[in-house]
Amino acid sequence: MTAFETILEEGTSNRTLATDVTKAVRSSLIMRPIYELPTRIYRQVGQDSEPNLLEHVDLMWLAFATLDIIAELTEYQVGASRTEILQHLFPLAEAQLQAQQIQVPPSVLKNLLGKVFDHLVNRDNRYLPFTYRFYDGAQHQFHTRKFWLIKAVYTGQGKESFFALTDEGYVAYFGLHESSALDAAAIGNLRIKLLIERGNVDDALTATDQNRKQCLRKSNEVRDVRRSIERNIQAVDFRHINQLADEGADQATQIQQESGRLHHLVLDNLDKNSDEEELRYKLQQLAENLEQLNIQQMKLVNQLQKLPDDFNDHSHKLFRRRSIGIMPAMDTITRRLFATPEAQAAAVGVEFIARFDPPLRQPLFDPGSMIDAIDRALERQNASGDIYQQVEEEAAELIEYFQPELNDELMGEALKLLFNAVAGEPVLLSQLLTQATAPLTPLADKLQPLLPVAMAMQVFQCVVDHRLAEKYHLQIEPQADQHVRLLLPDGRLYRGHELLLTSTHPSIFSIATDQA
Amino acid sequence: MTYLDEDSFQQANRLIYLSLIYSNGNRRALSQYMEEMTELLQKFRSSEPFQQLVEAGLKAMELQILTITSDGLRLSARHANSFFATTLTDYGKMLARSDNKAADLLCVHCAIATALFPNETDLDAPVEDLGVVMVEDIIQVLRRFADQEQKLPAEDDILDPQVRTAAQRIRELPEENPDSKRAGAGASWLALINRVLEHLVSTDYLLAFEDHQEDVIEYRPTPAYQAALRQAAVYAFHHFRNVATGQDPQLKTPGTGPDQESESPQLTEQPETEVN
Repeated sequence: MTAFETILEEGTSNRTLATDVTKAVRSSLIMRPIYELPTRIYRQVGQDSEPNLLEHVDLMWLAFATLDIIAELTEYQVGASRTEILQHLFPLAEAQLQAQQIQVPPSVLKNLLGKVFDHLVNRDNRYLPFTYRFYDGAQHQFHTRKFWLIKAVYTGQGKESFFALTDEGYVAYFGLHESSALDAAAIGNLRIKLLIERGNVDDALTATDQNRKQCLRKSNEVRDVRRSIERNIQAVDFRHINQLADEGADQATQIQQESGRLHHLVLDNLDKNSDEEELRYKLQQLAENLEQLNIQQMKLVNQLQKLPDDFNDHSHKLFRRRSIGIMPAMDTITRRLFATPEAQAAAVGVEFIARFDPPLRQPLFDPGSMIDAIDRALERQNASGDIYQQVEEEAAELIEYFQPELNDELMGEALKLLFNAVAGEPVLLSQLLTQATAPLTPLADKLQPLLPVAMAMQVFQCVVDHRLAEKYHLQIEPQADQHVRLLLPDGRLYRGHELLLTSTHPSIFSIATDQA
Repeated sequence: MTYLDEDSFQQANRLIYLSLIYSNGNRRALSQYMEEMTELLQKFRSSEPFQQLVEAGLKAMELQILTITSDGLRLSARHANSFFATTLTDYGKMLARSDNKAADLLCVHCAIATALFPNETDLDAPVEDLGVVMVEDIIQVLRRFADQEQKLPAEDDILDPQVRTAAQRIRELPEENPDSKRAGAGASWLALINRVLEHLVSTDYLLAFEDHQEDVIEYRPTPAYQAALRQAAVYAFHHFRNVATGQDPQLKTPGTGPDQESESPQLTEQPETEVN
């Protein structure tokens, strides 16, 4: 509770001009959305649509009618849907136009009513509360007041959203300063009494109607408390229940007695005014209303008095076995949490979510998917071949590609030499390498020193890949216990097992068998 | 088996990897590795050196074990700066909405938890006994708490009256936004709740049962949710206590988690001291 609100609560103890004015300003802010309605709608409508309609319709009347319709509809359901409200509102607006003999297509009127409603629920501002700044004279500060008149409530039923009046909405409509439902009902009773005494039966009728609404508001409150007793008794404060039951029941009984007395008063009047037909009818209606109100209030008294019993019925849940406090109860945590400042709650929230939710599937860098993506991008570019792009010439450096030292020519030469050497009879690798250092047909200066390396590479490839060996008809057998250590002409050292290379070529093979 | 063989290192990593899949609630991806997972878990339970190896791996990846079930290790990030931490952006990506505020989501998370586990004992009760929760119940809890901080007694009031509280943020949102389908329609209680619930269901924390007759979805908690909440609730509560007493190690040194998470996976069984 802010300091400002405590001043409001304290009431008359330290009243000054500043507090009084501030209180009045704060209360009257509630009417501001309704007062702003015409200007807002003028601004929205602009020039294009029916400009004269707004001048002939009483927008404020429609706004209060909307509040009344919602109050009426929410008596027997949790909320009223937009279409429902507009349906009820439409004939009222039509009547306004008929009074001035103006004809407009229904769609135009509906459009306007929709705008009225949208303004009252603050649709432009994403259904958030109306926010107004006001000056607090006592504290020399500015405060903001945020409130809804009509608020969307979640009901979980149907496809449409439902709307209900907030406390501020009731206050705005009943034109009272903020008061509880039972207070309002008591004031209502007083008004009815005065009105009957003055003979103003019509107003008395409307007053009974308002009283009925206040009663319903109270019984809704009681219903909510009962629900929370059933669901989670720990969350309900017993003192609050007792207070509701004691005060509420006392007050409600008083109000009920008062209405009973009013009922008698009306019946008395009915006897006296037996000659006026119209008045008799109205009085009878009033008596009927008062009787209904009486019954309703009686029910409310019962409900209020039953609250402590309900609490007792569910109180065994309070004494359930509790383990030795391994964890704080969620209720305690949540209560604390809602009282923390916004910024800290956000910091906790980030941390909480991280610790609470399972770890995330993180996309790792994947070169394969990258290449795929590039491919896709290139394909898309090719597919739309009609887009011809001018290639601009630039002074660019040529890209240097890797040039292997053992080029194709050299490897071919080595293979030729290998075949020549092996063709006759099996040959040892060391012999082969020595032949390669000094070939019969000398090569170019640059290639010459690399020939033994190329030769060794050829043999190595054949050892590794047996298919290659088959292709060249080579059979390679390592010689046990024999090792080669050979300094090659380009400065490299060949080291390894001695290998025996034999040709398996059919022609060679046939020679070998012939010799055998 | 109390020694480490040469496969242990690879197996430990494999266990972490599979547990990450498991924690994400991806049952289909995991089904083909079930046997391997069971073997790894057996090794994890029986061999202490292996356990230490896994824990070292988890620590390096800034993960923590929430609970050990028969299907794998439930993991979560150690703190918000961890590589694997779920962030607000993830919520945004999931529903293509980026207007998430951590304070609001935290409130909704706690409201869901409160609706499911109103009492402390519920956190240890078998999940089958906890019943179901519907969106309406969560709204009720939010309604209750949104006004609660105003009713706190004065000596319990830890805040300067000028500071906006988390509850105030919630109070200033509508319960339902009829334009929620439109882009930029803004948040409402219902939208936030649905966003969080959807994420909880997709991560296997809650099970959603659709009652076709009444068109209402009922949510049931899983043991994983209970375990995760037990950890997170302790964190949240300790943090609030720190706020209340004026010490705030968490905010001053971001990135260093409180000590209670840095120990063994049996932590969930260790009694926490009672806090009032």
